[in-house]
Amino acid sequence: MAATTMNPTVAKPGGAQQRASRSGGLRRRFFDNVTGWLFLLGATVCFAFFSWYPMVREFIMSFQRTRRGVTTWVGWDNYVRMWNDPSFGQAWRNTLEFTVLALLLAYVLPFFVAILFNEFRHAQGFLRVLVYLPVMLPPASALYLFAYAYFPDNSGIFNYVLHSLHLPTSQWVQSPSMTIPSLVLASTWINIGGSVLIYLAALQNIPGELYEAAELDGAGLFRRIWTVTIPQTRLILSLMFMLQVVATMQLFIEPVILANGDGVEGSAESVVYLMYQHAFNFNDLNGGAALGVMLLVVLAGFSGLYAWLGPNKTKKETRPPWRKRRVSTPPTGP
Amino acid sequence: MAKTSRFDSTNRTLISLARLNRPGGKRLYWTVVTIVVAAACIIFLGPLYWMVTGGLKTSLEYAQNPPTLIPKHPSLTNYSDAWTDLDLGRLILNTAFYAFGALAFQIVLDVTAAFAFSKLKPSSPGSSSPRCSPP
Repeated sequence: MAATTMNPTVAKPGGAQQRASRSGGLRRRFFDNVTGWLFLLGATVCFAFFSWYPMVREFIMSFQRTRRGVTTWVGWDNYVRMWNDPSFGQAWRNTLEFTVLALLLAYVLPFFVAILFNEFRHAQGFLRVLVYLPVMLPPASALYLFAYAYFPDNSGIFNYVLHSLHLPTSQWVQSPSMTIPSLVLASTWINIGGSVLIYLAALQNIPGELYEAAELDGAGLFRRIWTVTIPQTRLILSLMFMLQVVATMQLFIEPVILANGDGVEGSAESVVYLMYQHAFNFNDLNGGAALGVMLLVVLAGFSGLYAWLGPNKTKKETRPPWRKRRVSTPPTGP
Repeated sequence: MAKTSRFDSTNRTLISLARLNRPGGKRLYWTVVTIVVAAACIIFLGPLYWMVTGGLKTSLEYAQNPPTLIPKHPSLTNYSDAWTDLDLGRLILNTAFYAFGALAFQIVLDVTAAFAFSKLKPSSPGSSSPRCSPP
Protein backbone atom coordinates (compact mmCIF):
# COMPACT_ATOMS: atom_id res chain seq x y z
CA MET A 1 0.00 0.00 0.00
CA ALA A 2 2.39 2.64 1.21
CA ALA A 3 5.39 0.85 -0.18
CA THR A 4 5.20 2.76 -3.45
CA THR A 5 5.90 6.04 -1.70
CA MET A 6 8.83 4.60 0.17
CA ASN A 7 12.02 6.29 -0.97
CA PRO A 8 15.55 6.25 0.47
CA THR A 9 15.24 9.63 2.15
CA VAL A 10 12.22 8.51 4.13
CA ALA A 11 14.06 5.85 6.05
CA LYS A 12 16.63 8.30 7.38
CA PRO A 13 16.15 9.32 10.98
CA GLY A 14 15.30 12.83 11.86
CA GLY A 15 11.58 13.21 11.24
CA ALA A 16 9.59 14.87 8.53
CA GLN A 17 9.62 18.25 10.14
CA GLN A 18 13.37 18.48 10.31
CA ARG A 19 13.87 17.21 6.79
CA ALA A 20 11.24 19.54 5.43
CA SER A 21 12.86 22.52 6.99
CA ARG A 22 16.23 21.44 5.70
CA SER A 23 15.27 20.81 2.11
CA GLY A 24 12.41 23.25 2.02
CA GLY A 25 9.65 22.78 -0.49
CA LEU A 26 6.02 22.40 0.36
CA ARG A 27 5.62 19.47 -2.02
CA ARG A 28 8.37 17.47 -0.42
CA ARG A 29 7.07 18.14 3.06
CA PHE A 30 3.61 17.00 1.98
CA PHE A 31 4.85 13.73 0.53
CA ASP A 32 7.03 12.93 3.53
CA ASN A 33 4.04 13.43 5.75
CA VAL A 34 1.79 11.39 3.50
CA THR A 35 4.06 8.38 3.88
CA GLY A 36 3.95 8.76 7.64
CA TRP A 37 0.19 9.07 7.73
CA LEU A 38 -0.27 6.11 5.38
CA PHE A 39 1.90 3.99 7.66
CA LEU A 40 -0.34 4.98 10.55
CA LEU A 41 -3.53 4.39 8.60
CA GLY A 42 -3.93 0.66 9.31
CA ALA A 43 -3.53 0.94 13.06
CA THR A 44 -5.69 4.03 13.21
CA VAL A 45 -8.53 2.38 11.30
CA CYS A 46 -8.33 -0.65 13.60
CA PHE A 47 -8.40 1.52 16.70
CA ALA A 48 -11.23 3.60 15.33
CA PHE A 49 -13.42 0.63 14.49
CA PHE A 50 -12.71 -1.68 17.41
CA SER A 51 -11.81 0.72 20.19
CA TRP A 52 -12.96 4.30 19.74
CA TYR A 53 -16.22 3.70 17.86
CA PRO A 54 -17.61 1.25 20.47
CA MET A 55 -16.65 3.64 23.26
CA VAL A 56 -18.44 6.58 21.64
CA ARG A 57 -21.37 4.34 20.75
CA GLU A 58 -21.66 3.10 24.33
CA PHE A 59 -21.65 6.67 25.59
CA ILE A 60 -24.39 7.66 23.15
CA MET A 61 -26.42 4.55 23.91
CA SER A 62 -26.36 5.26 27.62
CA PHE A 63 -28.53 8.33 26.94
CA GLN A 64 -30.98 6.51 24.68
CA ARG A 65 -33.67 3.93 25.14
CA THR A 66 -34.66 1.40 22.50
CA ARG A 67 -38.12 -0.11 22.83
CA ARG A 68 -39.58 -2.28 20.06
CA GLY A 69 -37.05 -0.96 17.59
CA VAL A 70 -37.79 2.69 18.35
CA THR A 71 -34.88 4.66 19.78
CA THR A 72 -35.54 7.79 21.79
CA TRP A 73 -33.33 10.14 23.78
CA VAL A 74 -34.05 9.79 27.47
CA GLY A 75 -31.38 11.93 29.11
CA TRP A 76 -30.11 10.60 32.44
CA ASP A 77 -32.99 8.13 32.75
CA ASN A 78 -30.77 5.04 32.24
CA TYR A 79 -28.37 6.20 34.94
CA VAL A 80 -31.21 6.81 37.39
CA ARG A 81 -32.68 3.41 36.54
CA MET A 82 -29.34 1.69 37.14
CA TRP A 83 -28.82 3.60 40.37
CA ASN A 84 -32.19 2.33 41.63
CA ASP A 85 -31.57 -1.25 40.47
CA PRO A 86 -31.92 -3.53 43.51
CA SER A 87 -28.59 -5.21 42.74
CA PHE A 88 -26.70 -1.96 42.13
CA GLY A 89 -25.41 -1.39 45.66
CA GLN A 90 -24.66 -5.06 46.20
CA ALA A 91 -22.71 -5.24 42.94
CA TRP A 92 -20.50 -2.27 43.81
CA ARG A 93 -19.98 -3.52 47.38
CA ASN A 94 -18.97 -6.98 46.12
CA THR A 95 -16.65 -5.50 43.51
CA LEU A 96 -14.99 -3.26 46.09
CA GLU A 97 -14.67 -6.13 48.56
CA PHE A 98 -13.05 -8.24 45.86
CA THR A 99 -10.70 -5.40 44.93
CA VAL A 100 -9.59 -4.78 48.51
CA LEU A 101 -9.11 -8.47 49.32
CA ALA A 102 -7.29 -8.99 46.02
CA LEU A 103 -4.99 -6.10 46.90
CA LEU A 104 -4.03 -7.84 50.12
CA LEU A 105 -3.65 -11.29 48.62
CA ALA A 106 -2.69 -10.79 44.97
CA TYR A 107 -0.71 -7.57 45.31
CA VAL A 108 1.10 -7.70 48.66
CA LEU A 109 1.66 -11.45 48.88
CA PRO A 110 3.50 -11.79 45.52
CA PHE A 111 5.90 -9.04 46.62
CA PHE A 112 7.01 -11.02 49.65
CA VAL A 113 7.08 -14.24 47.64
CA ALA A 114 9.38 -12.47 45.17
CA ILE A 115 11.60 -11.19 48.01
CA LEU A 116 11.85 -14.75 49.33
CA PHE A 117 12.60 -16.24 45.90
CA ASN A 118 15.21 -13.57 45.26
CA GLU A 119 17.19 -14.79 48.28
CA PHE A 120 17.38 -18.32 46.95
CA ARG A 121 20.66 -19.38 45.38
CA HIS A 122 19.13 -22.67 44.32
CA ALA A 123 15.96 -23.81 42.59
CA GLN A 124 15.03 -20.25 41.66
CA GLY A 125 14.37 -21.09 38.00
CA PHE A 126 12.29 -24.09 38.99
CA LEU A 127 10.20 -22.01 41.39
CA ARG A 128 9.67 -19.36 38.74
CA VAL A 129 8.33 -21.95 36.30
CA LEU A 130 6.07 -23.42 39.00
CA VAL A 131 4.61 -20.08 39.96
CA TYR A 132 3.99 -19.15 36.35
CA LEU A 133 2.26 -22.44 35.40
CA PRO A 134 -1.29 -21.31 36.36
CA VAL A 135 -0.94 -18.20 34.20
CA MET A 136 -0.42 -20.45 31.19
CA LEU A 137 -3.52 -22.47 32.03
CA PRO A 138 -6.61 -20.97 30.36
CA PRO A 139 -8.48 -19.05 33.10
CA ALA A 140 -11.75 -20.85 32.38
CA SER A 141 -10.27 -24.32 32.93
CA ALA A 142 -8.40 -23.16 36.02
CA LEU A 143 -11.67 -21.84 37.42
CA TYR A 144 -13.48 -25.11 36.69
CA LEU A 145 -10.70 -26.79 38.63
CA PHE A 146 -11.57 -24.55 41.58
CA ALA A 147 -15.29 -25.17 41.06
CA TYR A 148 -14.62 -28.87 41.73
CA ALA A 149 -12.28 -28.11 44.60
CA TYR A 150 -14.92 -25.87 46.24
CA PHE A 151 -17.63 -28.57 46.41
CA PRO A 152 -19.25 -28.46 49.85
CA ASP A 153 -19.67 -31.40 52.28
CA ASN A 154 -16.27 -33.07 51.94
CA SER A 155 -16.59 -34.09 48.30
CA GLY A 156 -14.50 -31.08 47.26
CA ILE A 157 -10.76 -31.45 47.69
CA PHE A 158 -10.49 -28.39 49.97
CA ASN A 159 -13.10 -29.60 52.39
CA TYR A 160 -11.69 -33.11 52.21
CA VAL A 161 -8.22 -31.88 53.22
CA LEU A 162 -9.60 -29.54 55.89
CA HIS A 163 -11.75 -32.33 57.28
CA SER A 164 -8.91 -34.84 57.42
CA LEU A 165 -6.79 -32.25 59.26
CA HIS A 166 -9.70 -31.74 61.70
CA LEU A 167 -10.01 -28.10 60.70
CA PRO A 168 -13.37 -26.38 60.24
CA THR A 169 -14.69 -26.84 56.71
CA SER A 170 -16.43 -24.19 54.67
CA GLN A 171 -19.30 -23.98 52.23
CA TRP A 172 -17.09 -21.86 49.94
CA VAL A 173 -19.13 -20.39 47.09
CA GLN A 174 -22.35 -21.81 48.55
CA SER A 175 -22.22 -19.52 51.57
CA PRO A 176 -22.78 -15.79 51.00
CA SER A 177 -20.06 -14.68 53.39
CA MET A 178 -17.35 -16.89 51.88
CA THR A 179 -18.19 -16.27 48.22
CA ILE A 180 -15.96 -13.26 47.58
CA PRO A 181 -12.96 -14.65 49.54
CA SER A 182 -13.28 -17.86 47.51
CA LEU A 183 -13.23 -15.89 44.28
CA VAL A 184 -10.18 -13.95 45.50
CA LEU A 185 -8.39 -17.19 46.37
CA ALA A 186 -8.99 -18.64 42.90
CA SER A 187 -8.04 -15.41 41.16
CA THR A 188 -4.87 -15.13 43.23
CA TRP A 189 -3.77 -18.64 42.35
CA ILE A 190 -4.31 -17.90 38.67
CA ASN A 191 -2.61 -14.49 38.56
CA ILE A 192 0.19 -14.69 41.13
CA GLY A 193 2.81 -15.86 38.62
CA GLY A 194 2.82 -12.73 36.51
CA SER A 195 3.16 -10.43 39.52
CA VAL A 196 5.94 -12.50 41.07
CA LEU A 197 7.96 -12.44 37.85
CA ILE A 198 7.58 -8.67 37.50
CA TYR A 199 8.57 -8.09 41.15
CA LEU A 200 11.55 -10.44 40.78
CA ALA A 201 12.77 -8.46 37.78
CA ALA A 202 12.48 -5.26 39.82
CA LEU A 203 14.29 -6.79 42.80
CA GLN A 204 17.19 -7.93 40.66
CA ASN A 205 17.86 -4.33 39.66
CA ILE A 206 18.55 -3.22 43.22
CA PRO A 207 22.28 -2.56 43.60
CA GLY A 208 23.83 -4.77 46.28
CA GLU A 209 25.81 -1.87 47.73
CA LEU A 210 22.64 -0.43 49.20
CA TYR A 211 22.02 -3.58 51.24
CA GLU A 212 25.68 -3.71 52.17
CA ALA A 213 25.65 -0.12 53.36
CA ALA A 214 22.40 -0.59 55.26
CA GLU A 215 23.74 -3.70 56.98
CA LEU A 216 26.98 -1.97 57.93
CA ASP A 217 24.86 0.79 59.45
CA GLY A 218 23.23 -1.85 61.60
CA ALA A 219 19.92 -2.21 59.79
CA GLY A 220 18.16 -5.49 60.52
CA LEU A 221 16.27 -7.63 58.02
CA PHE A 222 12.94 -5.80 58.15
CA ARG A 223 14.65 -2.44 58.31
CA ARG A 224 16.48 -3.33 55.09
CA ILE A 225 13.22 -4.33 53.40
CA TRP A 226 11.59 -1.10 54.55
CA THR A 227 14.40 1.31 53.71
CA VAL A 228 16.05 -0.34 50.69
CA THR A 229 13.79 -2.87 48.97
CA ILE A 230 10.52 -0.94 49.01
CA PRO A 231 11.91 2.50 48.02
CA GLN A 232 13.98 0.91 45.26
CA THR A 233 10.95 -0.88 43.77
CA ARG A 234 8.57 2.02 44.37
CA LEU A 235 7.88 2.68 40.68
CA ILE A 236 6.97 -0.93 39.90
CA LEU A 237 4.96 -1.21 43.11
CA SER A 238 2.85 1.82 42.31
CA LEU A 239 2.37 0.84 38.68
CA MET A 240 1.28 -2.65 39.71
CA PHE A 241 -1.09 -1.10 42.24
CA MET A 242 -2.89 0.81 39.52
CA LEU A 243 -2.97 -2.10 37.07
CA GLN A 244 -4.21 -4.39 39.83
CA VAL A 245 -7.08 -2.13 40.85
CA VAL A 246 -8.16 -1.50 37.26
CA ALA A 247 -8.05 -5.24 36.50
CA THR A 248 -9.82 -6.45 39.65
CA MET A 249 -12.61 -3.90 39.41
CA GLN A 250 -13.56 -5.60 36.14
CA LEU A 251 -14.32 -8.83 37.95
CA PHE A 252 -16.42 -11.01 35.67
CA ILE A 253 -15.22 -14.49 34.72
CA GLU A 254 -14.65 -15.68 38.30
CA PRO A 255 -18.27 -15.21 39.47
CA VAL A 256 -19.64 -16.50 36.17
CA ILE A 257 -17.83 -19.82 36.40
CA LEU A 258 -17.51 -20.33 40.16
CA ALA A 259 -20.72 -18.82 41.48
CA ASN A 260 -23.15 -19.20 38.61
CA GLY A 261 -22.97 -15.47 37.88
CA ASP A 262 -24.54 -13.77 40.87
CA GLY A 263 -23.97 -16.42 43.52
CA VAL A 264 -26.17 -17.30 46.49
CA GLU A 265 -28.40 -14.33 47.37
CA GLY A 266 -26.47 -12.12 44.96
CA SER A 267 -23.30 -12.59 46.98
CA ALA A 268 -21.11 -12.74 43.87
CA GLU A 269 -22.89 -10.11 41.79
CA SER A 270 -20.20 -7.85 40.31
CA VAL A 271 -20.60 -4.59 38.40
CA VAL A 272 -19.51 -6.09 35.10
CA TYR A 273 -21.81 -9.08 35.62
CA LEU A 274 -24.72 -6.76 36.34
CA MET A 275 -23.85 -4.94 33.14
CA TYR A 276 -23.78 -8.23 31.26
CA GLN A 277 -27.15 -9.24 32.73
CA HIS A 278 -28.79 -5.99 31.68
CA ALA A 279 -27.29 -6.02 28.21
CA PHE A 280 -27.83 -9.65 27.28
CA ASN A 281 -30.30 -11.26 29.70
CA PHE A 282 -32.75 -8.42 30.36
CA ASN A 283 -32.56 -7.13 26.78
CA ASP A 284 -31.62 -3.71 28.12
CA LEU A 285 -28.51 -2.66 26.22
CA ASN A 286 -29.00 0.97 27.21
CA GLY A 287 -28.97 0.23 30.92
CA GLY A 288 -25.86 -1.88 30.47
CA ALA A 289 -24.22 0.97 28.58
CA ALA A 290 -25.04 3.41 31.39
CA LEU A 291 -23.51 1.06 33.94
CA GLY A 292 -20.47 0.64 31.72
CA VAL A 293 -19.99 4.40 31.53
CA MET A 294 -20.23 4.59 35.34
CA LEU A 295 -17.50 1.97 35.73
CA LEU A 296 -15.41 3.72 33.11
CA VAL A 297 -15.74 7.03 34.96
CA VAL A 298 -14.72 5.43 38.26
CA LEU A 299 -11.71 3.65 36.75
CA ALA A 300 -10.69 6.66 34.67
CA GLY A 301 -10.98 8.82 37.77
CA PHE A 302 -8.77 6.42 39.66
CA SER A 303 -6.21 6.29 36.85
CA GLY A 304 -6.27 10.09 36.60
CA LEU A 305 -5.65 10.36 40.32
CA TYR A 306 -2.75 7.96 39.92
CA ALA A 307 -1.28 9.93 37.03
CA TRP A 308 -1.63 13.10 39.07
CA LEU A 309 -0.30 11.88 42.40
CA GLY A 310 1.84 9.04 41.08
CA PRO A 311 5.56 8.84 41.76
CA ASN A 312 6.92 8.92 38.23
CA LYS A 313 7.00 12.67 37.88
CA THR A 314 9.24 15.43 39.07
CA LYS A 315 8.63 16.83 42.52
CA LYS A 316 7.13 20.08 41.30
CA GLU A 317 4.33 18.43 39.39
CA THR A 318 3.30 15.90 42.00
CA ARG A 319 2.32 18.40 44.65
CA PRO A 320 -1.49 18.45 44.75
CA PRO A 321 -2.96 21.92 44.92
CA TRP A 322 -4.42 21.47 48.41
CA ARG A 323 -0.95 21.00 49.84
CA LYS A 324 0.83 24.21 50.45
CA ARG A 325 3.64 24.91 48.11
CA ARG A 326 6.76 25.18 50.16
CA VAL A 327 8.38 28.46 49.32
CA SER A 328 12.04 27.78 48.94
CA THR A 329 14.12 30.78 49.74
CA PRO A 330 17.24 30.89 47.68
CA PRO A 331 20.37 31.47 49.70
CA THR A 332 20.96 35.17 49.70
CA GLY A 333 24.67 35.44 49.99
CA PRO A 334 26.48 38.69 50.08
CA MET B 1 33.58 -21.59 47.53
CA ALA B 2 35.41 -20.26 44.53
CA LYS B 3 32.56 -18.82 42.52
CA THR B 4 31.22 -16.45 45.13
CA SER B 5 31.68 -13.47 42.83
CA ARG B 6 28.02 -13.60 41.80
CA PHE B 7 27.01 -12.73 45.32
CA ASP B 8 29.65 -10.28 46.41
CA SER B 9 28.75 -6.88 47.78
CA THR B 10 27.69 -5.61 44.34
CA ASN B 11 25.39 -8.48 43.53
CA ARG B 12 24.23 -9.42 46.99
CA THR B 13 20.60 -9.44 47.96
CA LEU B 14 18.81 -8.87 51.24
CA ILE B 15 20.89 -11.41 53.13
CA SER B 16 24.65 -11.43 52.75
CA LEU B 17 26.61 -14.48 51.73
CA ALA B 18 28.74 -14.28 54.85
CA ARG B 19 25.65 -14.69 56.97
CA LEU B 20 24.42 -17.60 54.86
CA ASN B 21 27.77 -19.35 55.12
CA ARG B 22 27.66 -19.56 58.89
CA PRO B 23 26.72 -23.07 60.02
CA GLY B 24 23.38 -21.99 61.43
CA GLY B 25 22.64 -19.84 58.40
CA LYS B 26 23.27 -22.71 56.05
CA ARG B 27 20.96 -25.02 57.91
CA LEU B 28 18.21 -22.43 58.06
CA TYR B 29 18.65 -21.62 54.35
CA TRP B 30 18.27 -25.24 53.26
CA THR B 31 15.30 -25.76 55.55
CA VAL B 32 13.52 -22.75 54.05
CA VAL B 33 14.38 -23.77 50.47
CA THR B 34 13.06 -27.29 51.06
CA ILE B 35 9.85 -26.09 52.67
CA VAL B 36 9.19 -23.50 49.97
CA VAL B 37 9.89 -25.88 47.09
CA ALA B 38 7.65 -28.54 48.65
CA ALA B 39 4.86 -26.04 49.30
CA ALA B 40 5.12 -24.60 45.78
CA CYS B 41 4.95 -28.10 44.31
CA ILE B 42 1.78 -28.87 46.25
CA ILE B 43 0.14 -25.52 45.54
CA PHE B 44 1.03 -25.07 41.88
CA LEU B 45 1.74 -28.57 40.60
CA GLY B 46 -0.88 -30.36 42.73
CA PRO B 47 -3.97 -29.03 40.95
CA LEU B 48 -2.39 -29.71 37.56
CA TYR B 49 -1.55 -33.25 38.63
CA TRP B 50 -5.10 -33.71 39.83
CA MET B 51 -6.45 -32.43 36.52
CA VAL B 52 -4.25 -34.68 34.39
CA THR B 53 -4.83 -37.79 36.49
CA GLY B 54 -8.54 -36.95 36.70
CA GLY B 55 -8.62 -37.36 32.95
CA LEU B 56 -7.12 -40.85 33.32
CA LYS B 57 -9.78 -42.03 35.77
CA THR B 58 -13.23 -43.40 35.08
CA SER B 59 -16.02 -40.99 35.98
CA LEU B 60 -16.98 -43.30 38.89
CA GLU B 61 -13.48 -43.14 40.31
CA TYR B 62 -13.29 -39.41 39.68
CA ALA B 63 -16.40 -38.70 41.79
CA GLN B 64 -15.30 -41.12 44.49
CA ASN B 65 -14.86 -39.88 48.05
CA PRO B 66 -12.17 -40.02 49.36
CA PRO B 67 -10.40 -39.34 46.05
CA THR B 68 -7.66 -41.67 44.88
CA LEU B 69 -4.22 -40.15 44.51
CA ILE B 70 -3.11 -42.48 41.73
CA PRO B 71 -5.66 -43.70 39.14
CA LYS B 72 -6.39 -47.39 39.67
CA HIS B 73 -6.80 -48.31 36.03
CA PRO B 74 -5.36 -45.42 34.06
CA SER B 75 -6.73 -45.24 30.54
CA LEU B 76 -6.67 -42.63 27.85
CA THR B 77 -10.28 -43.21 26.77
CA ASN B 78 -11.44 -39.90 28.26
CA TYR B 79 -8.91 -38.03 26.19
CA SER B 80 -9.79 -39.88 22.98
CA ASP B 81 -13.53 -39.49 23.71
CA ALA B 82 -13.13 -35.77 24.22
CA TRP B 83 -11.11 -35.56 21.03
CA THR B 84 -13.80 -37.26 18.92
CA ASP B 85 -17.00 -36.14 20.70
CA LEU B 86 -16.13 -32.47 20.96
CA ASP B 87 -14.27 -32.37 17.66
CA LEU B 88 -11.25 -30.99 19.50
CA GLY B 89 -9.04 -31.15 16.42
CA ARG B 90 -11.31 -28.69 14.66
CA LEU B 91 -11.39 -26.41 17.74
CA ILE B 92 -7.61 -26.39 18.05
CA LEU B 93 -7.33 -25.61 14.35
CA ASN B 94 -9.78 -22.72 14.78
CA THR B 95 -7.83 -21.38 17.73
CA ALA B 96 -4.56 -21.60 15.84
CA PHE B 97 -6.11 -19.89 12.83
CA TYR B 98 -7.41 -17.12 15.05
CA ALA B 99 -4.13 -16.71 16.92
CA PHE B 100 -1.87 -16.65 13.88
CA GLY B 101 -4.30 -14.52 11.89
CA ALA B 102 -4.38 -11.93 14.67
CA LEU B 103 -0.60 -12.13 14.95
CA ALA B 104 -0.16 -11.51 11.21
CA PHE B 105 -2.43 -8.45 11.29
CA GLN B 106 -0.79 -7.17 14.44
CA ILE B 107 2.72 -7.46 13.05
CA VAL B 108 1.86 -5.61 9.85
CA LEU B 109 -0.24 -2.86 11.46
CA ASP B 110 1.85 -2.38 14.61
CA VAL B 111 5.20 -2.36 12.87
CA THR B 112 4.09 0.20 10.29
CA ALA B 113 2.52 2.37 13.00
CA ALA B 114 5.57 2.11 15.22
CA PHE B 115 7.84 2.98 12.29
CA ALA B 116 5.69 5.98 11.51
CA PHE B 117 5.82 7.19 15.10
CA SER B 118 9.51 6.62 15.71
CA LYS B 119 11.08 7.45 12.33
CA LEU B 120 8.70 9.22 9.97
CA LYS B 121 7.06 11.42 12.61
CA PRO B 122 4.28 12.76 10.46
CA SER B 123 3.13 16.17 11.55
CA SER B 124 0.77 18.75 10.29
CA PRO B 125 2.65 21.93 9.28
CA GLY B 126 1.73 23.72 12.48
CA SER B 127 2.72 21.26 15.16
CA SER B 128 6.18 20.07 16.03
CA SER B 129 5.39 16.56 17.23
CA PRO B 130 2.62 14.03 16.63
CA ARG B 131 -0.06 14.40 19.25
CA CYS B 132 -2.30 11.52 18.26
CA SER B 133 -0.82 8.54 20.04
CA PRO B 134 -3.25 5.62 20.32
CA PRO B 135 -3.94 4.50 23.90
